[in-house]
Amino acid sequence: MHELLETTGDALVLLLSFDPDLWEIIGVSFSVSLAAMLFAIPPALLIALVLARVVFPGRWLLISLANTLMAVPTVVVGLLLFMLLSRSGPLGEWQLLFTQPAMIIGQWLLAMPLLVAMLHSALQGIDQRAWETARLHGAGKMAALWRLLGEARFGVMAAVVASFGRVIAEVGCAIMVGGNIEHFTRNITTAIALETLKGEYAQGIALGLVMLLLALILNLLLGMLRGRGRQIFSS
Amino acid sequence: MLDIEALDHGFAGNTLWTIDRLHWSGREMVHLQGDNGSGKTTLLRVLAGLEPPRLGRVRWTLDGQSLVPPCPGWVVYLHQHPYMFDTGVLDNLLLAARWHGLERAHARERALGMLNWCGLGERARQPARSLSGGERLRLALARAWLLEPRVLLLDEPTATLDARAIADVDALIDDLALAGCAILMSAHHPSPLTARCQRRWHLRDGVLFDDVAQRRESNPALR
Amino acid sequence: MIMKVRSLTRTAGALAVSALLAGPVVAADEIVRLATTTSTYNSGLLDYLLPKFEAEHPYQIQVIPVGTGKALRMGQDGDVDLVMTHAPDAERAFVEAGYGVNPLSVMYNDFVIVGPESDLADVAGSEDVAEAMADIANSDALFISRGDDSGTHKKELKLWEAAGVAVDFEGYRSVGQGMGKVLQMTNELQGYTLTDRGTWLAMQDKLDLALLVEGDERLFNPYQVILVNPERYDDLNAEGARALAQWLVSDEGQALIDDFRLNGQVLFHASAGEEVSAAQAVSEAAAQ
Repeated sequence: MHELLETTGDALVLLLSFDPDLWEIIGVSFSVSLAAMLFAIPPALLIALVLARVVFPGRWLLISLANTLMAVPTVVVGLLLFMLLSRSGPLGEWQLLFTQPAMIIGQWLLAMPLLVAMLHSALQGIDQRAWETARLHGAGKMAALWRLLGEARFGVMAAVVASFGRVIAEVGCAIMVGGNIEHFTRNITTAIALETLKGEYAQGIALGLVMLLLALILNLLLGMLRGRGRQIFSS
Repeated sequence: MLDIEALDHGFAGNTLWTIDRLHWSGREMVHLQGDNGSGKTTLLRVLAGLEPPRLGRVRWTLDGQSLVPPCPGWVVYLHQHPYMFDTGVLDNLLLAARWHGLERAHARERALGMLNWCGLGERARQPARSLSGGERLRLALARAWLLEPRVLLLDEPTATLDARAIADVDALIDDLALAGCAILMSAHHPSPLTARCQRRWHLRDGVLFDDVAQRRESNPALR
Repeated sequence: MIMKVRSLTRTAGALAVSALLAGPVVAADEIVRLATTTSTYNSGLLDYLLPKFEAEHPYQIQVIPVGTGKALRMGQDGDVDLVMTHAPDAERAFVEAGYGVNPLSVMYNDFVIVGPESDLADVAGSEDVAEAMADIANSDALFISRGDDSGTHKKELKLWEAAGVAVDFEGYRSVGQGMGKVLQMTNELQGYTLTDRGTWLAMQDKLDLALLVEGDERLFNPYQVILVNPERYDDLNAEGARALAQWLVSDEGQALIDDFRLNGQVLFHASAGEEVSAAQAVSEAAAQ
């Protein structure tokens, strides 16, 4: 117990003294995950809108597919991507393995199903009257769609927050395609997973604290959004 | 103004109603009657262009133009429970003004004018969804009238309102009628609004009766 | 692709084996927990030795393959009963701090430098490992470092020191992972790395890499087995740990180690009774 406290103390010192190695790792996590979200949100919105508003054969199959893909372990995504990007794989020429772009692609793949599924349910929940009212009051199709997103904004934000939480906390894919290379692809989770192998726990705990804080913030945000969503629903 | 020929609608092979021919000049306010499930709402939605008819066509002749619904800005349909966008009261009006193509400053001026007209001037900042049923209907009327449509289709506007709220709405409807807006409303129960209607259409057994004409066949009677 | 499938099958096999090992419920005093380096484990040596020990003794060995740093840390924390590692300095400190007792020299193997067939840094056949590593640092090539405080990593750092190279050069990639993973990454990135011969032999079929530098005495790699100090923790299986350590340095254990072959090659040389300090002297020569 004493040692745990001591290590936690060391961890706090590392954090608060803005230890450059530590903050570099945190920076990699955020830049990779934010980039993945940035690339994932527009196509996910588009797919979710189509799934929610357009009836076509195979629609439910796609929705079930998105829900299924959410459950795929991150290491499986990592393994598939690794085999694709490997020197002997079909995309080996791109030379992306063990780079940040590879991690971004991996997290993009992880974020998409969750985003699509959550955005779909958020957009699905919008009253049909919203679209009709907007259109009858002169809104063009794009303006009406934009309004629908506005109506679903809490659900949309919840989807984004939850997906960001998933990708920034995942470790399996980041290790497999990122490689945990110091100063290049070492992020919070791969550092925690592998720093402990060195028997040096202070950095692991410091990074764990960052993740904990982030998780707390994201969950508070989600809680607020859910609460707000329920309020609307009941009205 | 409204012309219908050989209009037919229904679901899954069952015919809901058939209207061989119908003409409405729009000068009289019309009360659409019928039992539950007779297809009143569906008829209003077809006239608004929210649902395509199974057969036949609807044609609106407005300001010299021949239009096939939907005709946004010309023909506005209000749901039984009008949809309030999840924004403030004033913002609901601003949204419509912006969609209508009004410039920012003009849109605001017009929205504020409408807000005062419907008696919600004090509630501009309030979330629209916190309004009562009567207030919502008034805001919806203001939002629709902001576009100065030629035709308003009202689906059971008074069904869940008390006498006081109905009186408030009635005053607004009076303004609209005076301004020359053609109004077609469905209603179950008599109210000051239905009393205002000079003409009654009755949907029964899949046929539209014109109760002014008191004639059984719907086709040539309604001209 | 065929190789990938094979490696998957192998992984599945390893999983099945570990599931079998974990399967039967064994009384606590029959379990001996051994933390050892990934290099010994990956070579297959322990899979070869331990069943023979278990057949003769009432103990079941649970092997925890980790880097040397973590292995010693687990010993310090009393999470294992004994450790088998190859980092003389760290081991000496471990014993001096009272975390471990009875260090015994068991065997040695050696390190080699592997790299791309193209050999960008032109180090193939070099007999001076420090010079070769300086050449690598001065070329455009990548060097993949374990970066995990393992014995191999510590050896690598000493060799850089001997070469007079600071490890922040352009092509240096510290990845904090095990030997097998590092070899795989080296292969993907077509860089150079320092590896123990055992892991290299076990994996070379799957790698598009060549053995470039070997034989320098500074690449010597001594293994010691150290008991975790039973005075520090009550619940250690000190008896079982002692039995295993004694068996490893016995004539029988030593003969088995010498007989072990991987792909027909000798991997480990038994060294019981030899002075560890002598081995250390060689390894520390690298530091000068």
